[in-house]
Amino acid sequence: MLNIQPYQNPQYFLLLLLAFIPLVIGLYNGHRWRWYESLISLLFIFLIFDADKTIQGFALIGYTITQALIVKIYFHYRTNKRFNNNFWIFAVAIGLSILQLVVVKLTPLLANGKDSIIAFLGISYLTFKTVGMIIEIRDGAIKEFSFIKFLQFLLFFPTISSGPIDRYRRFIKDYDNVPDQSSYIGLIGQGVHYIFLGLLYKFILGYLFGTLWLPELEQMAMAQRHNHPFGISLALVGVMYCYSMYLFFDFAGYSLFAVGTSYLMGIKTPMNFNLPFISQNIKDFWNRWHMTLSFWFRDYVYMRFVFWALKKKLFKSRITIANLGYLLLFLLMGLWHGEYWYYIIYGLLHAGLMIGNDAWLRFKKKHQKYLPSNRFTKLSAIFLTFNIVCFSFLIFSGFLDTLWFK
Amino acid sequence: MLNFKKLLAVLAPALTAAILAIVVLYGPLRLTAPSSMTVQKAATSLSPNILRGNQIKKQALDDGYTLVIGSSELSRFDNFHPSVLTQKYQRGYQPFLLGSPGTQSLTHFFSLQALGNDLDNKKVVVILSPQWFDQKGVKPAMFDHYYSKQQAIYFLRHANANSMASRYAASRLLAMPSGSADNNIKLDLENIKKYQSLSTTQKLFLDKVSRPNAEHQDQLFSSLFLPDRRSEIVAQEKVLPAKYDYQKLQTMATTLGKEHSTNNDFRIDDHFFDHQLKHSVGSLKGRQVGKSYEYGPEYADFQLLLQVFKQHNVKPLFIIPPVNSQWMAYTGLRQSMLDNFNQKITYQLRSQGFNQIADFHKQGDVPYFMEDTIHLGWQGWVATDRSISRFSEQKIAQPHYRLNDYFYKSAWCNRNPQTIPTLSK
Amino acid sequence: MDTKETVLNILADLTGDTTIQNNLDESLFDSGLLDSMATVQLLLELQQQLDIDVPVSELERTEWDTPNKIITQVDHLRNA
Repeated sequence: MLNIQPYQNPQYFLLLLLAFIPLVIGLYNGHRWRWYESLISLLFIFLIFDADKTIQGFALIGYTITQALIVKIYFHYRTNKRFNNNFWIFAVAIGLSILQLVVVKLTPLLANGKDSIIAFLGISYLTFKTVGMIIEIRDGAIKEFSFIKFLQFLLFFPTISSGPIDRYRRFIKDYDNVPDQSSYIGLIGQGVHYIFLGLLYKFILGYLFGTLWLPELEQMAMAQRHNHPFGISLALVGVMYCYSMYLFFDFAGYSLFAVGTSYLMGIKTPMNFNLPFISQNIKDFWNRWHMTLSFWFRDYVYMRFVFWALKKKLFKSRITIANLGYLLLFLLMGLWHGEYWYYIIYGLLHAGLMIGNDAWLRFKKKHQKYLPSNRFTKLSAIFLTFNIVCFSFLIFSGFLDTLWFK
Repeated sequence: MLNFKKLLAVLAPALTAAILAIVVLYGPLRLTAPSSMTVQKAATSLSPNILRGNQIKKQALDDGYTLVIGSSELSRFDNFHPSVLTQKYQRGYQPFLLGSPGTQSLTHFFSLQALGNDLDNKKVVVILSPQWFDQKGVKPAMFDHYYSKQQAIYFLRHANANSMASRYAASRLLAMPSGSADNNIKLDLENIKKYQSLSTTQKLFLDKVSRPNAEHQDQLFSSLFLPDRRSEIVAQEKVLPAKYDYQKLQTMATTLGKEHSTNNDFRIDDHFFDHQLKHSVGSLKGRQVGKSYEYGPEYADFQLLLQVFKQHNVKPLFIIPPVNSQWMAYTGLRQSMLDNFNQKITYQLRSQGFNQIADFHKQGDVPYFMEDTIHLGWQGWVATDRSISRFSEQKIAQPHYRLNDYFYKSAWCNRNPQTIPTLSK
Repeated sequence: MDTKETVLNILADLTGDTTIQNNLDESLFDSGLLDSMATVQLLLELQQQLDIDVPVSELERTEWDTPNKIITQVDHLRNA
């Protein structure tokens, strides 16, 4: 049986091209043939999860049914005037909807690195979508719910494997709508541009950094590890920068494919990266790096925590509350990446950097008159941020685990 | 209408690119064969792309080169390296080097089998490093580095699910990360492993989609960025006497070896010692006391190579290099262990009809036979070249190989060499 | 007290910038005056001073990024 993985090989792109011909003709002429979109979505999902991935396919089906029921029932609860907005019901709904993800994330830890049988490609990203929905339903922001639209949103195939993480209301607005002809042509132009930029990023630059250079550097670093304290050699510095570049070009390339493909379908999936390596500080960096994930954590974890803590007057100082919020956000993000020490350290490091950055900004604001601000200070800030970020990616890569303990 | 023009302007470059990509990757494209210049350059390039590709090797066989299959020692281009000696003298063969650090039996198996009938009746040389036979077998990361999808596809299209060799090769490839990197190839391999032939769809997909793509990539890219060592080789050849003289070369090898190994007591090349050993030499003392090359999956992997030789009636010469004995004494590597290794591998060869063996495994104490710890150099190369030259000029009788599936089994891999009988030559 | 005055007072309080009323169409997020923390405080103040509930979900940043837009949103919610 034929199996293809999203955006991995020429076959996937060829199939995409063929499947999109009728769709593009339709949208160009002002028709959104939703049955056809559903059909190709199903076809692609089938091809991603067939053959030896069949077990994953069943896990996905089970997951989809459960999530649909959880969201549907919670929506009923919230829109029925007889009930008030009980926190514990909300908590149960969230708990149930992340249950499968939690099991999948914990299984490797408890079963010696084996993957859970209810795991499937993209479970994290789908869970982000549903949790976001449940929170917005609690807030009363989502006012209508239909199974079909929910499925369209959840299983939107261009982003099914690794995001970008869209929001329900934003998605539905595009989905319910047909762009007029000239703006659709604009979308096609942008979409095609993104896809070609993605090809450059993922298959040329990502390949150079990740496939050609990274293994060589890693091997050099491993060979020299006994000659240097903590194995810190020049080669390790090379690994750090090379991995950082690989991580960016590979993931940004993938994200561009997903966004470009969505645009061709008239859906403006949000961008994931915005020149992250020119960030002037760590906060700026998180507004430019894996944006849909960081905004998700910002909106659904950080802001809600801060809101709640301020309202309950958990601490007097709003600085303490903000710092706790950072700690919570980045610890959660670290744990979500996987239950390994280096992800946790990565999370803690970024929480620390955000806290430090806020303190620095406060200091700067107070002493604005005495601190110079010019091109040189800006470039130094970019340079410093870039290097700190690369260092955090070295931790994130897990290579130190191999270097020190394997 | 204006909008339609805009649409075309947006789509035309993209569609052109897509059509070009389709034609280049899947079209009925036949690019011209590589030039003799390219092959000449490739013969000493040691580039992984040459190992992974097909067409340059095929052209080399056509042009009369002898494949010299080995690993890291091939990069020791001193004045007596076979590529240097054959540049200077008529030695009856022209080497085409295949191998780099980390290439072992499994990599060479996939690389050679994909040459198919171009291998028929050819003479080849295999430099069989004892270090390949480390107990854990080839490192997956090293295998992956030289892995070629094109060769895996060739293997799948010619695999026979009823043959132990095919099933063993499939299971070994599946054990490597690269073997499961492509889902379809992984599924095909699993079929072979489970005694099942490929279905028509699977074959069709390999023939019409995967193979043309891989072949065209090979044709387009393999000959790009080849390291060019030809001038380096010409420079090395300048100091050699005008006429080939074995005794003279030996004397010269000793002199040059002495000149180049002055900063250590192991007769190891100065440059190598400075860069690879100086810092760690203290910690390596006695480090190899327990080292063994007597057991492990490499013995079965090696059997795959023999199977390719039988299938195409290839006449191979096996060269078994020694280890630098001063280095052995320092690190505690035992000569008795090397003897055992030699006993075992020789049995595997001779009992199946492979009798062309240049056995140097006891020559580790010949001064300057090795250029460093484990790599042939100076004297070692002079001797190696003489063996290859004699082998090349000699008429080799039609071989009768009798292969035995026993050699794929763990019973063989784990067999104690001391229980193995010595076969008469 | 009218909406505009209240909102501007809250914003001046939160950002420590009294010149805000002079730049009513400047993006508060781009200039860094308003961060996530300050945004949450804004919502809380609106709740306390004007008795309007703005759930965090309704805070679409592109519709709340300048003083003028915030005033429009608040007016809209007050009259809803």
